[in-house]
Amino acid sequence: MSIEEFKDRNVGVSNYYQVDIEDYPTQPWDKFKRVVKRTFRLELFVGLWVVMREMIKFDIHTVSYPAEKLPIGPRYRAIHKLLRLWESGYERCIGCGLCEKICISNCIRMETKIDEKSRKEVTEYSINLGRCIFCGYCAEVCPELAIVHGGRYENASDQRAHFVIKDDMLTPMDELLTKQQQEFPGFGAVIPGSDKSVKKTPLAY
Amino acid sequence: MQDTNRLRPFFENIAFDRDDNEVILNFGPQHPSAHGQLRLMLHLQQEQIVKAHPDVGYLHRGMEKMAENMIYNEFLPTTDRMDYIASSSNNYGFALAVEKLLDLEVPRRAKVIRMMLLETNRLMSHLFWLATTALDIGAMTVFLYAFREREYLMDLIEDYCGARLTHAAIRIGGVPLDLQDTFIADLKKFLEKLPANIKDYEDLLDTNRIWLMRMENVGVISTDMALSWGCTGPMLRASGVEWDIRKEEPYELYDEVDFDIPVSDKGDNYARYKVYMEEMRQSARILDQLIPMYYETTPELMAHAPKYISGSKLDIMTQNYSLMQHFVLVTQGMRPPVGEVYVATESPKGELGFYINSQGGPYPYKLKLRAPSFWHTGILTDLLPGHYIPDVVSIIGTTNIVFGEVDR
Ligand code: SF4
Ligand code: SF4
Repeated sequence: MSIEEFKDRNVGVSNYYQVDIEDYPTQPWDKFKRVVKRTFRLELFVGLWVVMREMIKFDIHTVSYPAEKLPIGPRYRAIHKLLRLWESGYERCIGCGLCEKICISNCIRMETKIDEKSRKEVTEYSINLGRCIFCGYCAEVCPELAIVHGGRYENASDQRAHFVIKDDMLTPMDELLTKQQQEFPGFGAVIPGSDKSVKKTPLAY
Repeated sequence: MQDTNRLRPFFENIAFDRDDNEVILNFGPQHPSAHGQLRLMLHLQQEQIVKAHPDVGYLHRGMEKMAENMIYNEFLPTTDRMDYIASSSNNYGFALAVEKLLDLEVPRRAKVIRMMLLETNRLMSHLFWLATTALDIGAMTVFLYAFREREYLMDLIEDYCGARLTHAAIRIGGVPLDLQDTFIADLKKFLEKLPANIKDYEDLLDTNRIWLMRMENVGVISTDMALSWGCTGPMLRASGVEWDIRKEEPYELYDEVDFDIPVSDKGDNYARYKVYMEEMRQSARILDQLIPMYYETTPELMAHAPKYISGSKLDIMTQNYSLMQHFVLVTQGMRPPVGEVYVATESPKGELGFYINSQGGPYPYKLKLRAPSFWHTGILTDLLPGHYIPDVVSIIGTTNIVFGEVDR
């Protein structure tokens, strides 16, 4: 748009409105009047009243952090977890490497091999938490819902490169058996209720 | 060149052999009210500034170059790190640019969710602006109150996408998730309280004599100056230009919701403050209208374009073709058609533009980011001379610059 068009355009319909600011005085006498008015205006007490009102509400939310923690949402993206299949207890990860590829900060490393049953087996899987930006893309691309985010966010470490390896992330067997493993509702999750629209699963063919 | 045998201060091309009593003051880059990594070299005559050089680049990460080595999807979380106060609006700008390149139609529910995210981000950004500016000027109470409200919004977004600051909550072609069950209720609760809160801030600030002294007739940007320095957003509107991209070139659903744009022709700090406060009210108004719109939509979240966009997780897990396509799209990336786009959106700080030149490959051939704060930093060169040192802080405050965005 050129400047002429810009000036000619129809702004009447576009709902612009002036904010309400009093004109500033230019004459000395007006300035003086304003000074007097401002000096005797009691606006500071209004401010005091606002603060006072907030104070006497006793609406206090202080959390003494290490002792008590704020709850975080189920979709929170913190340290990763690797999940297991509910029925068989096998690791869900098939070693496809999509998460390794999409990872923006290149912090996922994995090693795979073909085991004796000629299935692909993930022997090593690590995430460098020093580099991870917790973008959630690994969870989003994983076609097996294997890598997800967990809620553990305290990952301070005395080293710059701080890794989690497969054993840290994988759901322990006893947790799985007692049904403590949780599906992740955040990035990459299946839309709830969409299982109803599945007619046939691949196994049915 | 510096004569190494003589001990004289040597600061980047600034000659010190003057006879006048000009003093050079380095403001920042660690100064807390420099809003990040701004370094201002101020030439002072007593307390008055005669010359100002903003020096940027302390946070430079080379995002434009990074984009050339990433597939389009991968670049999206990187845009979070530009204007990190309102990161969804950057995600959105990028996603919209790529969608325009691909010519995609985004499902309506995704549009509504995006609008909600954009407006909550605008509120977050404006609340943050109010808090830090008030703190710079000395109104500590407002800082605490505004951060309290911002916290509600951050919780809301955290519940939606799982992060508080770097959301990555928008995807090319839609949004990754539906709203969680409690989102609308929480949002309603927040919107009920917001007008009273804004009124509180105004009670504390609007007529406060110190606030007025620091704001009125300080940092006056005339219309011509604002236009010639490329100001956008509230900076431009406070200088009397009626221009808001949401109204002029409506994107998303901005042409379906009812809202007004505050402008002022005063051009000073106080006008900018007023414009920001009014914009918060208008954002709340937009959010109010979006809630019923959300319920009228069908649950699709991502555009259907198998060539560019992976199918839903359900499709990927049940259908072979979707899975194969997903593998191709993740490992090789989408290949938009040859062409170039420039898409400008109204981010909380002004015109946020993404220029993409695609040569048909999976990486952008060139990506240019136009961040509003960069231009608002530039204007300090012209704006500061003639003002006094305390005014520097309030002027930087009201320009609302965020250094993630300036340096990119
Ligand atoms: S969250 Fe993002 S950065 Fe972290 S491992 Fe996953 S893909 Fe990589
Ligand atoms: S994307 Fe999922 S299945 Fe593939 S390697 Fe990563 S965790 Fe394993």
